Amino acid sequence: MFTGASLAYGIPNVGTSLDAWFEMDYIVLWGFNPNVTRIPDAHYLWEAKWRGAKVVVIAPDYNPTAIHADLWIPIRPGTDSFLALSLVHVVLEENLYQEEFIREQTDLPFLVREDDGRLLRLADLRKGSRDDVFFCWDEASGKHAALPGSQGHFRKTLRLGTLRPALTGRWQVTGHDGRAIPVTTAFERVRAEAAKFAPERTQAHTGIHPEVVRRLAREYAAAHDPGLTIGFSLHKYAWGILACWGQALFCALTGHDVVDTEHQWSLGGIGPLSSPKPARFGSGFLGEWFAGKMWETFLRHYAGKAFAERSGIAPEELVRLAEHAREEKWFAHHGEPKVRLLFADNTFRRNKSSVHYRKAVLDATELLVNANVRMDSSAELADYVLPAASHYETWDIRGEVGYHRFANLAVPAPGLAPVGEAKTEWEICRLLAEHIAAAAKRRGIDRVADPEFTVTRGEAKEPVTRDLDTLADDFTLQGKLATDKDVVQWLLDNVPAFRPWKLTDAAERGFIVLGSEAGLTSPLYADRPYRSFEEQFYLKRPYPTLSGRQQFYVDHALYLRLGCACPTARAPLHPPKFPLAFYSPHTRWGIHSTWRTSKLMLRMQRGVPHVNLSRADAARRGIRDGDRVRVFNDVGAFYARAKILPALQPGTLMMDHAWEPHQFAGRAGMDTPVAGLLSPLELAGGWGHLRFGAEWDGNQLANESAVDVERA
Amino acid sequence: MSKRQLAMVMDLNKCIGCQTCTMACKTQWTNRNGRDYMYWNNVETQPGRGYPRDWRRAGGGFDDAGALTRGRVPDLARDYGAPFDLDYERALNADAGHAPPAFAAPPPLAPTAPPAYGPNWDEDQGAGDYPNAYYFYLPRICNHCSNPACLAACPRKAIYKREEDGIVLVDQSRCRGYQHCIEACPYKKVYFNPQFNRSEKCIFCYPRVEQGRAPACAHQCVGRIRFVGFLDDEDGPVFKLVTKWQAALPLHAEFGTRPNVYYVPPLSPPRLDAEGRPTGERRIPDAVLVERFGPRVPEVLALLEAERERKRRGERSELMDTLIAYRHAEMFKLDAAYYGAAKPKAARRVIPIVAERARPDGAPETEA
Repeated sequence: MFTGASLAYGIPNVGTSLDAWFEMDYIVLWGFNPNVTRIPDAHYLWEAKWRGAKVVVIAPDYNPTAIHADLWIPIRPGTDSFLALSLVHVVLEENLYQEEFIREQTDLPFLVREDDGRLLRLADLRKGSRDDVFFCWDEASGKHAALPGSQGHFRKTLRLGTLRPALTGRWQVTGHDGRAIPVTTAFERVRAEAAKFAPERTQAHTGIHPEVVRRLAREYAAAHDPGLTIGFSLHKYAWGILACWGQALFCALTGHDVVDTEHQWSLGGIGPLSSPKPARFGSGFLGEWFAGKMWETFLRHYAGKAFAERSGIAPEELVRLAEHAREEKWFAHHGEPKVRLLFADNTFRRNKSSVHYRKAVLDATELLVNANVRMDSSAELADYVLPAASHYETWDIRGEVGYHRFANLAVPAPGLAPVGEAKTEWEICRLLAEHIAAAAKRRGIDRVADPEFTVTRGEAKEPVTRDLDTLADDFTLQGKLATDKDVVQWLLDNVPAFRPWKLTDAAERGFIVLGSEAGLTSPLYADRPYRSFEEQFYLKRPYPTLSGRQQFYVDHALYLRLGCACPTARAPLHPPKFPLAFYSPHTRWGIHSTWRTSKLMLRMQRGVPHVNLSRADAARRGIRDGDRVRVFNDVGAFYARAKILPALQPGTLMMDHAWEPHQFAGRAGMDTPVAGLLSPLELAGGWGHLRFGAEWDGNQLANESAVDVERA
Repeated sequence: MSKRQLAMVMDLNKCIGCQTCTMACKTQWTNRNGRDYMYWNNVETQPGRGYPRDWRRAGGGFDDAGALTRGRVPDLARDYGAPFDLDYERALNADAGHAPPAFAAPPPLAPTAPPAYGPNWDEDQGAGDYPNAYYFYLPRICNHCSNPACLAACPRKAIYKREEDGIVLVDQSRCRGYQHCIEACPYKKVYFNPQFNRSEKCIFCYPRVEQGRAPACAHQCVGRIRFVGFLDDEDGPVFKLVTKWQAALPLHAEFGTRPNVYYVPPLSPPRLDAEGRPTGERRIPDAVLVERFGPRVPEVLALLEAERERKRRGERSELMDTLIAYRHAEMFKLDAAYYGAAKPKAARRVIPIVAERARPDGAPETEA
């Protein structure tokens, strides 16, 4: 999840449909390799280039997107937050920022208490009052004034009216106890923080010459329609959250829109398909950390002072913080299941510390069932595999997250006979539901009270019941949705973004063009690219953040303690005891592990997993192209073939992600030596818009482990 | 020399190396019956050894005096790469019938025999030293040359060039599998089918072309880098790019075969100095491009930059607008009616690509 964007906007996925590239005149692709990972849309970039746009790529390696750029800026892995803060630094230092935009659209004019670093709240001024109403210093009236639009303010607008919020200054306000509270602005705090990160100082971290940074900041600020698109790989580093937050700040200061984090369409209307009762929806990153006992690999790999020095928190404390986040219910966690039913999840491929994780999870699981179209690295471990009909044998709507405005309609060929006992996933679920319902009735456990969820009826709180006896009816909406085709028909009838498409037309064409309502924070116009936040920019509706504006000051106690109340920079956490920073970006050769073992695809590679080494690192170890090598650290090891890439930064080891563990000797996949790691900043919760759900959850950090490699 | 010549232009500034073209061709023409190792369309990283391995140094073509030279026939395993299968049975069913041991791992899912080479073996490797590494993608099909070395080399006169569009084909009924064409083609774009003992090659998807459709590789190209049409069609993209703007260049023209696939040479980001500052110098050395696309490369790159600058200023540029490739209809200028009208009644020798399977008694059997 793009947590940096969640901090800033309250939404992790924002930005544009990718055809917007064609309109832009200055395009920055940061930690993003669309020539490999957005193959269908990459042409817009190079057509924009022929239209005169300048394209800049920032990445550790000279990747396949960089080859067509006007400028490639090599950066040391995981140091992106330093570059982001240096860009902010230049924009502030050289007065390249757009005051009107940040006054209205951001929380930068908000007053911050100088005594405790917290935002000034109404509750500070009036005892017992709200803590979600905030203030600015109004230059028009010469006193503090509440800003509309925040979560607690009755006026839901960003319009400032007659207010003229100051960006800079120091003042005093009177607290509810009559004492003076010294205040300043979030802008001042941001500026003071950015002052520490002059490009001349961050060069030691990033390896980027300050002239390059200054030029980038100036050109971006001066461009007419620039765009900054980041890849998800940044959030596989501990401080990707800071990098992205800093990038958002940079975009806000220049008045240029938002950082693009692959926005998503809003497919409203699917609600009735879910049970009206609360779901036992758990936090992915934290749940896997506990299920896989990943704190064990974490403590092994990151023990020592370096971690505490760089992150501001000792390793043992981070483990306690994860437990605290669970206990405080900042992130939902429902314990370890005894029975696991996996759908569309190659969990034993996906999770880090993979051998360790696999053992921990299998040891704790009594029954593992997997519905799958193929024998992947998770299916082969299951007690039962329920063979599922593949993508082309099932009625389905496959929505794109937001790259373009089309949703594909999968239509099985008429008369297609199932392969073996394969069934559609819908039918598998329906049959399971029917059998569970029958067994529940037989055993007299029709209804089970949920131990965690309650519902209020009148005055009384009652437990939510899980109604096993009606499971099949509930699942099929009382029999209306018997088949996969019924569901597709229902979706076309009920999802506004799919209107006015009829099933017959959609099936004939094989796709649906999304309608205007697919837009989440802007309309999706029929004739131009989508861009987020038109409702905020033009209609002045609040953002879904605590402040109601783009948020660059978060006074969560943890953020204050770690010195991260506003965007800042931190050094990567790769332990110095192993020399190579290991990272694993998305592959050209699959959608994660799907297609990864396709014979046609593997023949276009080398047939077996290969790991990429820089020339210098290979030479130092006497490794030649094609040699069998062992990649190892104190967490684990795997074997692969070496491939020497001149494009790779010395001191790094790069491997395309998502090879199947069963392609490796001993089933020890490429994530075996990747230690469990959580970012402390992603463990915050219970604050404003930092509440667990679709908009706030953390990440497993794949790219912060260090390894060595040797010939094997 | 044929009456008219179809040609293709590929803009290497837009190629993303995704191999969609390769797969479009493979799944249409070469995924069966002795063709599995063949990639009539391949995309290789350059500088690199390419596919087949070191084809640029494998000989063939014509010498300066115009005499045909013989090259070598690439080796299946070493130069093309033997097309492997995966051993699913051993890897995924290893413990069938046995009590499964407590995750004592079965052998990995891997090729039945370790591959020694393949069509994309040196993907993304290129040359240069970090941070000044460089590479570009080079998609290659048969060049459907105006002076085809394969045709000249065939003692059976099995290879012919179509009058109406210049497509070069192997007459499967005449070919006896001597492989002189493979030796002679300096691009190594003729392949030997061991199952039928015949030479086979890219057919420019002529069954599609005759219906007014672009070849599969071009039509499927998601980078939208390919332009197809007749060289003499002044309204077509190929004429504009090759003749009018002279922005597209043949690959290794010195081989003497007069190829009809043209490339817009790639620009590249600047080299970085020791401090990490961009220099004014493109990172792909001009010499590397000149070696492949001839002496006009620097001039073409300058033209691309100049025309791009015009677009940046908001002015019109026919060259840039052509390369942007707004619509398929503008990228592919083909005409089914032309074939309908020009079709010679008897003389036209279109040999369907339907392959024959040799039977023990020697009688051919049509492929299912």
